Amino acid sequence: MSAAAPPAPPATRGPGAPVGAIGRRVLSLGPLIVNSVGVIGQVTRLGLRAVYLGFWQSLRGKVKIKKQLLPLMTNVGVRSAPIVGLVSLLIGAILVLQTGETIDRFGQIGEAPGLVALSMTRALGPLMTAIVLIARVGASYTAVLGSMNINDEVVALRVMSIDPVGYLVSPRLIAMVVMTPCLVTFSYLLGMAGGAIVAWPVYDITLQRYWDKSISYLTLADLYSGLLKSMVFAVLISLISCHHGLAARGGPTGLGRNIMVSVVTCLVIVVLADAGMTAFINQFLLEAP
Amino acid sequence: MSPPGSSTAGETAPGVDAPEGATARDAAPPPVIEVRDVELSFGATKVLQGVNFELERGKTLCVLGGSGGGKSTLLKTMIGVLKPTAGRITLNGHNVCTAAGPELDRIRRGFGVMFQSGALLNSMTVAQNVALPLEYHTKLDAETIDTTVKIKLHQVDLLHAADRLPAQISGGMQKRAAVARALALDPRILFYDEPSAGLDPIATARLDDLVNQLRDTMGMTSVVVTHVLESVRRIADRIVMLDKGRVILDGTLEDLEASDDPRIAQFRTGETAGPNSGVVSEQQFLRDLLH
Repeated sequence: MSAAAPPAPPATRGPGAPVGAIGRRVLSLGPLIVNSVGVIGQVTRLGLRAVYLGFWQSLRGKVKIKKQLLPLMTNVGVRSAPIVGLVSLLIGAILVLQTGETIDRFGQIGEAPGLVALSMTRALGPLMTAIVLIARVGASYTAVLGSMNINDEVVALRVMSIDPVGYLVSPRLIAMVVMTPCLVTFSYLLGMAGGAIVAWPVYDITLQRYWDKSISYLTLADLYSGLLKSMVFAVLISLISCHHGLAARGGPTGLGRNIMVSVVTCLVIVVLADAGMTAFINQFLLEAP
Repeated sequence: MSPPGSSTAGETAPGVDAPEGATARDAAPPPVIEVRDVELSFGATKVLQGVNFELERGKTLCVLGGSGGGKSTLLKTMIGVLKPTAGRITLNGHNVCTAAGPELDRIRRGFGVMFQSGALLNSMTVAQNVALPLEYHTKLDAETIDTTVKIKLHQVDLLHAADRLPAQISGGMQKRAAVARALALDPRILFYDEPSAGLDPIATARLDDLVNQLRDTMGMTSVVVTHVLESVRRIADRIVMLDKGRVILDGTLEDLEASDDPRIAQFRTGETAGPNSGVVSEQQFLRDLLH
């Protein structure tokens, strides 16, 4: 007979089972929380280094990013514009179609342009643009940096005394921060245009009247609150995507997993940031219409 | 054969007189690469154990060994990508193991590396890849950089492919382009990680000729990690052979050919049966099965 019997497995049946299951579930959250805090720390460090190298060191001529900036800005801005425009146009149209019938019952259809304008500038414009950028640009950042990492290109840069953060992350961060507000402004306009296109034939609101009503609702704070959100989203998307790219290991399977994790993380973080910023902006910056 | 871990390549050659009043030791030029008691572990696994060797200027060292023997890990440790758990590596007199930040960057500008895959940046043309270190680390104007790039590409016989993307050229050409990029800042040491991997015999021979040409014309000191014996026979001035992270041979090609160590003999002959076969004997299999 063996000297030491193996420890009894935790009870999975009986009256204590539900408590045991809850306990195990709570304990399993420990590594997840530790891991998440670790990733937040790594992304923050990456962001600080990218800002230092991209702004301070590039101004001193020690990091050269000019050559890369234009193609990256073209990719983020010009090439994303059609899809951002289409999504915004449809969102504006859907808003009028969905809300028009209800507010028309109260004789308030004339306020539909204001509803669309405020929805697009305060919430939907920045959020829909961010979602498009996560799918189109963030995923490609992770894929490109991940495949470079797996193919030793990142190590090669390091061995050539070229900081991969300055060379790869900083220009991507700058391209996103510069181009996202431009795309969001484009999204505002296309969203309102989408609403106008539907409001004219369905509710007989002329384009001139639609435009005048939209402008009368908007304040400068509405416009810049959306632009502020868009810049925060740009920073979050670029840093999370680049972090997951540079952390990719293990060939195509690891790369695929990192792209998926990057996209999901970006979506969750952007929505969380949107909720937090909306509460802050509504409390301190905006007046009720 | 020199005892492992103690010899110095190119000690005063026979027939060459040392300066009057100087001992043979004084006359020997200092080693460009010095690896002393290097150990590296990943967790409980020891990957490098007590690795020692030196290399003089203008010599080509081949690091040999089977797969998983620690060759590529040793190379990554020598170029400062991995930090050893113990020991010291000096390149041109600078300790790579303790250097960090700008100091490590300065040391790295003194050597070039050709990675196994070439590791060219795929979004840039061959010429842009070669120009990258020059744009980053020199204040040369665009015209001078362009001329330097042409010279480097001519050195590796790739001038005709300057405007092609890495994906548009063959594996052998990619590796030569990687050598051109490694040469961009005129380093004194070149590291090659498995240069013959995935190449046909002709492309391998061309790359070997390039290694010899750089040694003969520029006095380049080279460290070549490989397991291809034909290449070793063509380029090696000095051989270090690793087995399970330990140096089992430190000598010349003649030492390799003459060694009766069963591990070296098996590597030389390519026999499947031997100490490095990885095949479990029938008795061992039965023992594992029953217990």
